[in-house]
Amino acid sequence: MAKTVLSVDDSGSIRQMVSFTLKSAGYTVIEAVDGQDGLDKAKQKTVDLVLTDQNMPRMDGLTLIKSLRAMPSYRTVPILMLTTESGDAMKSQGKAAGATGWIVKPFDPQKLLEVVKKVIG
Amino acid sequence: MPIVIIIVMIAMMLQWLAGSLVSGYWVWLIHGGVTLLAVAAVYLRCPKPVACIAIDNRSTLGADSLLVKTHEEFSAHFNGANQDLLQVQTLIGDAIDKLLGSFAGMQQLIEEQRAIGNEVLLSPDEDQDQAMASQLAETAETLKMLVGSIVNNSKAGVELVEKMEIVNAQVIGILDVLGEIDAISKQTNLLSLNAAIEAARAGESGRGFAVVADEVRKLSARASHFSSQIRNNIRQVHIAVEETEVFISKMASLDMMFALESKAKLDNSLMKVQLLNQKMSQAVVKQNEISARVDRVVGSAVTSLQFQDIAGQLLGHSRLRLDTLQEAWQKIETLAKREQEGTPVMADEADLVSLQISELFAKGEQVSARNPVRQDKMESDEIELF
Repeated sequence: MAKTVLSVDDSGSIRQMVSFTLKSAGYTVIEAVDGQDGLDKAKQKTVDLVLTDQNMPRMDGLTLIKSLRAMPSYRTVPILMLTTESGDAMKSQGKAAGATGWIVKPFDPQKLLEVVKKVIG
Repeated sequence: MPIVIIIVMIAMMLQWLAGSLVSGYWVWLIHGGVTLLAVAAVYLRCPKPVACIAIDNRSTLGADSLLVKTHEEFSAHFNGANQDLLQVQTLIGDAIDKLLGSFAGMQQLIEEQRAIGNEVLLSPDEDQDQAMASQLAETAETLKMLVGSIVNNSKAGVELVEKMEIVNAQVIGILDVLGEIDAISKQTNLLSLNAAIEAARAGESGRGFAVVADEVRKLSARASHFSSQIRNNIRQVHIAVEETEVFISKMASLDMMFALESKAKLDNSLMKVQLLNQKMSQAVVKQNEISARVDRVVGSAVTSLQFQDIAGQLLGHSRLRLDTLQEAWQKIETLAKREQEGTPVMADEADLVSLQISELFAKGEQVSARNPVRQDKMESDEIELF
């Protein structure tokens, strides 16, 4: 059964790129336009991986990670940050919040796919 | 309004603007800044707070008036710049969405093309190239057997010709024997004739002998007649055998030539098919290599297209800076308007506004520090797993 990835980003083009890259490798992708939308969709269905941006309207990536980690079903689900943020301080905050990894934009579709495969197979 | 405050404010604004100036798009804003400096210079030369007197023979307009008068224009420009930035963001977003759609479509088509190539190249269980070679070898073997069979038939035909020659020799032998029979028949006839003469000479006593002699003559004539019939028949056989011999000989020769020529042609055709098959396989392999290269190029393009998200965040950041500038400008204009209306601005009030503006810029600086975009080129190599 195809694994499901939740892609959370306020940029439609980034969502489209992530979606295209992962779908062509056989993953099922659910898209969310911001942190709040991502949280709502994560509650509807437990996914295998969450890919989230940091700076988004309504709810940012760190808040989303904290909210997800508070849910029992998301304690062990990998969460990767996919953001333009590259500062060490922000990465530390992400790690503390429960992020599994950090990918800085722009991302190479092939490398993204490799990381996703490494994390969820 | 104290001149020093005005100049400090303007200097701060310009310094702040300089932080935002990243392209020719902002040239008009620089122009605005220069105008502000001009206002400050006028104010410097005209320190009276209300309705400045003529600073030279050509102008009686006060700096406060100028500030108030130009406020709307500045405000319109600030708003215009903000709208333009928003429009640029929207346009880039829309264009990138479409470009991404195109690249996604292109990549999909490449995948389909590659799949078709692989379908031609490989069967599910074995290498298609080997399968084709195996089929060609099988066809060649079948043709070889067919040619061998035809060659064998030709050889049999040659043997048959040889046998026919033997039959022909036998027929000729029979004809020779028939010649002997004819000679015997002639001699018998001659003997019967002599016997008849002698019988006649013997008279009555020879009458019976004459009858025998006559019967012998008749037998001789019948023998001669049969011999002639046999000869005729044998001659027909001889002719037929000779014609058959020629026909078989011709057929055997034709079969052999046809078989050998056909084999040569088929060998040639099979070789061409094999070459074609090899070329086709090589072409498919090359096509797959090109597809993989196009795939990488499209991947690189898709990476680069993420500039929309990054540039979008930068543009949003610039819009925040513009908002701060506009707010600061609004505060200066309020003071200037008051002075123009005849209400002097006290030093403590000016200090307060100066402080407010400083706070505004300090807040703006904090936003600047929060600018998430640090990249200055579109390269992707930072991935970290915790």
